[in-house]
Amino acid sequence: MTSAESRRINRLHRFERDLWESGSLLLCGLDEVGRGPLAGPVTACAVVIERPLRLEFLDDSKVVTELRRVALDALIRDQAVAVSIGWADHLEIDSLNILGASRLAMHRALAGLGLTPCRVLVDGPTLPGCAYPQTPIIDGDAKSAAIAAASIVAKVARDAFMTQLDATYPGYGFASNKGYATSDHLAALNAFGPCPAHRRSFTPVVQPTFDFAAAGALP
Amino acid sequence: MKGRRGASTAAVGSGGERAAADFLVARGYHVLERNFRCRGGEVDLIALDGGVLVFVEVKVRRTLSRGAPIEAVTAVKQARVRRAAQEYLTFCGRIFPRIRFDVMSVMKTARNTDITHLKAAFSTNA
Repeated sequence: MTSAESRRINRLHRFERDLWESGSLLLCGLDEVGRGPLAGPVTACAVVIERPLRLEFLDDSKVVTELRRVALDALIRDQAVAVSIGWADHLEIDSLNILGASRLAMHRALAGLGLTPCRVLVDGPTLPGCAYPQTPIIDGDAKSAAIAAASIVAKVARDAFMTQLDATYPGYGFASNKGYATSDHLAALNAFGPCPAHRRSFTPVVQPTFDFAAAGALP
Repeated sequence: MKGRRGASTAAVGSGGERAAADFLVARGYHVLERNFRCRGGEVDLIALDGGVLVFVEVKVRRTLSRGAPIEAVTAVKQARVRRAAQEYLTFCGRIFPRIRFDVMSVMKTARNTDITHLKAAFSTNA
């Protein structure tokens, strides 16, 4: 690890270090991925750590390449005290809205830990109904190592799920777009309509872009 | 509220909607819902035209003094129809690959009823 990278990883533990120094032992990073896609579940992950994660390239899942994410996922699972993943499916997203479903997934991730963290570092605003003391950190996946680790594990798990879903519902390119609204995905929605795994409360799913000429409205 | 000929505005409107629904049924449409309402908006008629799910806004007029009926379907009204359509599509439990938004104008004069059906009058994307 270069010294610059080492310093970056050090800085990534600023919240964690403060909490360890003030006597907390088990710190839990909590993050969710998959709010934006038009299909599939939203996935949350809780990662409990008791010492710094000295992992090269550890960062927000959105800025780490896919190959490194998969490598980091294994290392995080190795070094963490506990890792738990929580899901909320597309039907829950439709009935609760995406924010409610993200929170549900986060609660499920926490419930699956099997231990009680001293403090939860949550990405974003306060998580309502959280049973443990929490520190909400806006943009936490880029500021806290525990949250970054959670974002990577959640991202890897969700991507794997979406790749499998591509076999069940082929044609939408879930293996490559993971349900996000790429131009290929929107074109497939236009051509075939939604599949059962699509989030029907999301506008582009049920109201694809409309072609007047194709509809026979124009002479 | 009373209209000029004594019938209430609502009565004229619902009479017009019935005429519009009959018009669609006569042309092979299958009418699924009339006056679908939800939190975000409302749609006068929801019908199936073959494989296409059609959301129809019906405008009823007795005179042209207030302009053509179709002019009354403003951007705000379109947004209400779109929102209702979204709600319907989310919770109806079926998957429709194609949807369309139509406007029907019903001109009711003393002697006859004149129906104009404008297919794909506005688009799914605002």
